[in-house]
Amino acid sequence: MTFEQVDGGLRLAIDDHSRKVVVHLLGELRGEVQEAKAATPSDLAAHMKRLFPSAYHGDERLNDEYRRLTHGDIADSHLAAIDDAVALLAPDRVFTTSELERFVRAINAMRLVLGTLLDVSEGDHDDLETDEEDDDQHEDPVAAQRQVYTYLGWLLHTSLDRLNT
Amino acid sequence: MSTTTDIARDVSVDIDRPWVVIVWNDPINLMSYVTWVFQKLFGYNLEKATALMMDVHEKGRAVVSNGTRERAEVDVQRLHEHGLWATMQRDDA
Repeated sequence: MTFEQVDGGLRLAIDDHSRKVVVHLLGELRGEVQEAKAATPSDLAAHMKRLFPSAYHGDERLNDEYRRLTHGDIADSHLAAIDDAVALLAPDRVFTTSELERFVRAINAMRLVLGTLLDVSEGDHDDLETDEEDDDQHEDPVAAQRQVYTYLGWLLHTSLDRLNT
Repeated sequence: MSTTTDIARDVSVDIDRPWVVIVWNDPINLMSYVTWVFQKLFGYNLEKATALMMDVHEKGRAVVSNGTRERAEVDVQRLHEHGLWATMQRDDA
């Protein structure tokens, strides 16, 4: 059971190692989002562009205006979700459903960045799960990242199930 | 030089062609996550949110909201904050 119903709300019940890995990755993502917040569109790291998409197809003038108005707010929104998620991951932390919603957003953002780095494409989900079971996975230089990506997918799916109950 | 009539006609064109917000398919976002975002941001019931998500998944895109340019830009920003790939454009229909 990933979530326990306790007095005052919910508690996340995952093992300590997984908890530490997710907290570490959220810390790395926080640093990347802070850098992205200060970056111009041309300076934005390729794997971070997915968190800051364009709003208009083929109209750079309107996109520039959209970025000028929203880029900082979108970065701050990602940062707030990350901070809430890290707080929620503290051992024995009891949280509300609205806090779980922000956790879900942060986990999804992390998955988007990792999936972009892994160049995930349509239909890769089955392959990723197969790789995890492959005896030769130590030969895959990104096997660990693929396992984390798969784990984040499971954590996200489980969290959404909880929100929908 | 624009006349009052010209301006009135231009304004009516804007009203007749509202902006639409489009969500595009991507290989990373979970289908369950996209459905949840549509419910949360737009208040759609599960049936409508699921139908829109399936359009995104199978047709590559879906119009999820429409309205004034300002309204559409707010919706696009909220979708971007939730990690969805969204754009806006004038309604061609």
